[in-house]
Amino acid sequence: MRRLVAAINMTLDGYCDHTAVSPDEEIHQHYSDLLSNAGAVLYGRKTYQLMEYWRTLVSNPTGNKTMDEFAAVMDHTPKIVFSHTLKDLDWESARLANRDIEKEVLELKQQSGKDIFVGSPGLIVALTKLNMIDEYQICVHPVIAGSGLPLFKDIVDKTNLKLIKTKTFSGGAVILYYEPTNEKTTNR
Amino acid sequence: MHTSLDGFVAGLNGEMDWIKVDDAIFDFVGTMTDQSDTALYGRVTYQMMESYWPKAGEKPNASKHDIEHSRWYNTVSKIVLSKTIKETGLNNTKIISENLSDNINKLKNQDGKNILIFGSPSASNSLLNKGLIDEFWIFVNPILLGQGIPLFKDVSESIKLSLLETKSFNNGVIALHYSKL
Repeated sequence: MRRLVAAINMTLDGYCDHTAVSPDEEIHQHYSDLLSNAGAVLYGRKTYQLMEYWRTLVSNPTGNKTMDEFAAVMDHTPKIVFSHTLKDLDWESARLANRDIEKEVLELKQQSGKDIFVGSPGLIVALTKLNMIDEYQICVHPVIAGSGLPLFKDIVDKTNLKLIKTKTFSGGAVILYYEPTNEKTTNR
Repeated sequence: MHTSLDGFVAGLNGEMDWIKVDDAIFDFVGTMTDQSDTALYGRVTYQMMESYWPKAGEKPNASKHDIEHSRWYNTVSKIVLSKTIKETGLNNTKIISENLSDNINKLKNQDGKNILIFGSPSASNSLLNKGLIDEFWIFVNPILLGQGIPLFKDVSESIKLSLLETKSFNNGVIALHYSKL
């Protein structure tokens, strides 16, 4: 049985656009380490297409060690993409999910192997509603963005979590590690 | 300021029953009140405070926190942002209804301890948008509320902060202390 871990950046006011935060070397290093221990990572179409940026660095390294390392790790990590519009993917380490999210993730979790990560806001919300996430790693960046894409959108039920630990970076970001308690109360 | 992980300070109907407080948090907030001599509230929070704290220390079953915070509340100068409340007859309380920046800057330029804002999401957002808040203590509760009154609202441009420290509590609340960059 594998664990499903939601790992994502967020501003202090809860937005998760990739333009709202600017991860520094230390944070890229953290995510490189995380991904190199991942069995697979799940993306929605938009996040997947953002991550395709890292492919260009594999053939054209920047010379920045942390960035190039992250690109190499991203290139190797198996990626499973949920999309209704993409028909095929040409990145060797990526494949399209071929059934609905609940069935796909249930089957992935039942396999043995390393943790599965999910890094797209839409998937994190969908999997939260399905009670399928085993751990949240929310990296809170020291910025109030004011507007953008809210991470926890369309959550209907109150969801109680348990704080496991925290990790503070010198740039002021803090990762909050939570497990769900499966205590939910409906808002409606 | 207490908030849920998804950034709400209260439920849609003002519910705050999900906020986790215990003696450790009360004692910690006590160290913050000790360093301040002025409390600033929005009208709604002020009216909530006024209905409880003046006499909270005299209740027969008053807790240590009731006694200490009631004493603090009755001692400090209170500033309330409101266009409707009248100042006359209030004890040690000043109402600010206009010229927010000028009035707050005057207060900040006086000698004294810190000015502390409790709760008061709309007042905090007005002050934040005018660049008048120097530091934040955000108590993140281990819960997703899904909907409610947002902590940060109508912030017009991105505000960069510097993390000063964090403090985790046994009940799962983590306090994040920021200053404005």
